[in-house]
Amino acid sequence: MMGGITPSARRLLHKDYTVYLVLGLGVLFVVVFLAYPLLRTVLIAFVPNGRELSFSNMSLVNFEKFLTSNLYRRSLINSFYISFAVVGLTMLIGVPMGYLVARVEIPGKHVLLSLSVVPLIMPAFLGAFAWIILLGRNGALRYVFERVGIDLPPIYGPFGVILAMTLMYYPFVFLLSEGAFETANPTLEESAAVMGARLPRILRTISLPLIIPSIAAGGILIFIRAISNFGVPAIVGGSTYVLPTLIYFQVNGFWNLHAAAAISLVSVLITGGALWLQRYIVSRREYETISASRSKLHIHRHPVAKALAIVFCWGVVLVSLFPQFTLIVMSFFKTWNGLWPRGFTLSHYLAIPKFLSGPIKNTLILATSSSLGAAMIGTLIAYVVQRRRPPGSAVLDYAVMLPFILPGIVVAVALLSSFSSGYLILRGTYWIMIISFVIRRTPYVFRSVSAGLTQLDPALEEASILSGATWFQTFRKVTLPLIFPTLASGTILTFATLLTELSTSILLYSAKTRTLSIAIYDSVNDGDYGLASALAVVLFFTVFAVTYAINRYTGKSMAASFRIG
Amino acid sequence: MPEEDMPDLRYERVRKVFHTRNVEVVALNDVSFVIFEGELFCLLGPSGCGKTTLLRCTAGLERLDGGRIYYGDTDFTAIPPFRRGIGMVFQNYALYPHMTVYDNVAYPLRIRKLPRGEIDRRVREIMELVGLPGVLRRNPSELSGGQQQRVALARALVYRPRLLLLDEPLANLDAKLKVYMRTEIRRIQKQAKVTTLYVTHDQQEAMAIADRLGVMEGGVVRQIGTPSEIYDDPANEFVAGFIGEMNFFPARIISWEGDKLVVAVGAAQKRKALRAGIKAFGDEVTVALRPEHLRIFPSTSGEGVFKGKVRVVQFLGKFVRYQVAISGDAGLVEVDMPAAVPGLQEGDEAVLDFDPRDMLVFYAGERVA
Repeated sequence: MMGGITPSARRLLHKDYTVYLVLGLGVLFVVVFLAYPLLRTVLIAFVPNGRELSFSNMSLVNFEKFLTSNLYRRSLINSFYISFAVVGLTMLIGVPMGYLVARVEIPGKHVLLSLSVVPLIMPAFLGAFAWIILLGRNGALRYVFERVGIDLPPIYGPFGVILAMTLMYYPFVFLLSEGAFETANPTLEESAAVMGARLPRILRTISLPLIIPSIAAGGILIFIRAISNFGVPAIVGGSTYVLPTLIYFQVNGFWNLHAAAAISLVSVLITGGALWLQRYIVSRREYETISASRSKLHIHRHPVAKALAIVFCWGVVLVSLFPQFTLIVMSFFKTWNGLWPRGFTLSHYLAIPKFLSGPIKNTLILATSSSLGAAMIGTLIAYVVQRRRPPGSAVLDYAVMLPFILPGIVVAVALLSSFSSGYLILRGTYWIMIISFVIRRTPYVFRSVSAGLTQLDPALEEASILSGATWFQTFRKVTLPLIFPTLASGTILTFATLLTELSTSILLYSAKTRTLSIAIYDSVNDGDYGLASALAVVLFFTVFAVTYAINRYTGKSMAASFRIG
Repeated sequence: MPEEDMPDLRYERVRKVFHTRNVEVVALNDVSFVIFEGELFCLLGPSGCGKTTLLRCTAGLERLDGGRIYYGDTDFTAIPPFRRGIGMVFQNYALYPHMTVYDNVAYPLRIRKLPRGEIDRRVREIMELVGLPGVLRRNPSELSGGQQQRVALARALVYRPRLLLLDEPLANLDAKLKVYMRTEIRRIQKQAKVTTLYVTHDQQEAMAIADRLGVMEGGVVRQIGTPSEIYDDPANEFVAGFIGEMNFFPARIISWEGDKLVVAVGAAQKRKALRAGIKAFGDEVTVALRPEHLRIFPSTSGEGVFKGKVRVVQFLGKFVRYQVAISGDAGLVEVDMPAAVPGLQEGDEAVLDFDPRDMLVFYAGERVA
């Protein structure tokens, strides 16, 4: 009855190994270009500069500097002090603004919401640069303030960094709290009012406590962004160092990768701890504030409340748009000292073609190839982790998401420490930049594809497999077409962010691979503000156009795609 | 041996264990049985009994933890699912939303690289068979539930699989369409002459559609048989209670008379032939009777096995149902009579009786007489 295995039966037993091959390639990439460099970074952090990487050379010398060196200590303190200040200020601006936009009748509410995300699209270092133009020694705004007798602190230093970051990051808090206040269950507030509570009391005891967990989680994400940010302190920090600029200083000034590795490790421990705290808060978030009832939220219409709300909200939005406005104006003038810019010129724009064959071409090549690479690797790994769950897939999941908490400059240090010498020398090539971009952006694609896959009924793929399709055929004909919208929007968004990348490329670029961001950064440092502004305007409008297009494609509003929490 | 009695699919001690957070759940506990060629075999059981797991193991979508599955002479166990040549209809149909109906049905043929003309001919032929020839250019989302069901069937049958698996295919249809589609599925299955494993938790559906069925509980097949065998001759108390309606009464054994058993049930003693192979058992047994096997009279017309009070009288078309509270028992006994009993109304005293040949006797859950 059973018989032996016939030749046709033997053919039947051939399994489909493509999925393992694909998984293998993904794992190989993660191991070679993420795990190995990070491991090496951790190890060389414990070895003094100039020594061989061996166990006997290990010591804490690089970390002792945090106790002995004034520069190190101040950088660490500055990082915390600036990041906490930014979190606090964004809360002070964002939460009340969220409440006012959600609960007070404000004319042009939708325009306000759309405009509020513009600072998020602007690359951080460009915002900082614009504030230098406005509040530098001869800045127009400083001139105005001096005329009314207000003496502002110098723009170079903590003031500039905090100002630029606050106006850049406040939309996160604003959008988060606006959403929370808008969707809150009105019956909770109504019942408090019925019991005799007045507005301030309701706010203090009901409305705010309900949204505190999500606001706190958003605040920690801002903390992580602020403490990892390189561009802003690099442009307006002046002599005020923070951890990312200190890393840059160690690599660029002394080629001391060991010290850079130690600082990176400290920096990652801080962001990792913050992210852990964020997850903890999110997981403990126990209030279900979304309302299912038909009851309408109470909208304030009192003229005084309206006037206050209009002045505050529109005021904040307009101030946060100063940088864009400033860069556009500056790009058309020779100088801007004092109140008015002088010497209208188109020469800055006419100089742009010079950049076409170099930085602009590099930027496009690097952003395109890296977003495609991130899309491919992120998709394959997401598929394998979500659908196949091979042993160790949880480790893979964490490994892919790891760059999420790595400041960009740390990724650069890790790659430099691994591929500057030895078997695989990539320093100064396009490859090292592409790899760094792919490593940094894969988490974004991975996350959005994972989300897309959880929405996709596995039965669709099972039906395909049973009707005789191999894994690859199924993936190509069923899975991929169905997750394509998510994948495409994730990839294009990745492309947009890579156009303005600075914190990784600043350590990895060479004369051959210079990008547009680097060119702008250099022009700012050379004092060529007009040219820097013209390039910045081109860059900003490109990014804006791409982001706008992708939002139209996915049907989301600009504001919706930037909500976090 | 007639062709339809050739074993086609054979399960040998099939075992499947799920591990969830350090808890082991035995989904299939050494399941062994045979499905014959061309047969429509139903797996019936409450949710969580393992029927869907067995179906997915047959498809190769779940790996076995023990035992083997044979298709004819071929050991299925090690063959990857995409080479098994199985057609499957999923509970939610799993139609590809990004393809038209035509492309959905043609999909398995394109995978097999059939020539265009052949694909076209086969797609039209199968759509004819499932009774849905006019919708080829539409998207699945534009079809009704019943139509999607037919497309899913067509897609599963178009490449002439040796085996068709159906996972709760009617679960998402409304009651009326359910009854219609189960007839349709049986017609299509017989016309396509494909051996079919059909999983459902709906016993009416299973009884109506199956050539034979297996009743599952807790990872074990409790009984296999034709619908009438399962209904008339349940092998254990679980099957007796799960299929159709059944009244259970506590009873006691009085004596043995040769191969006959005498039990005391209610106020009477009843005799029934013992099943072969039953050796020994204790005193306490359970007697089970279908509502249609009980008879009810007004208490004035004589003595019966049980005495009770009529609580509810329901006129249900072809029969009249009496719900009777009998003394010493908390539950209501259900009695179906072909017509209303004259002079018996709600609140009246009544007596119940039955023919001992209809009586089923269980000891420790297993059938003894």
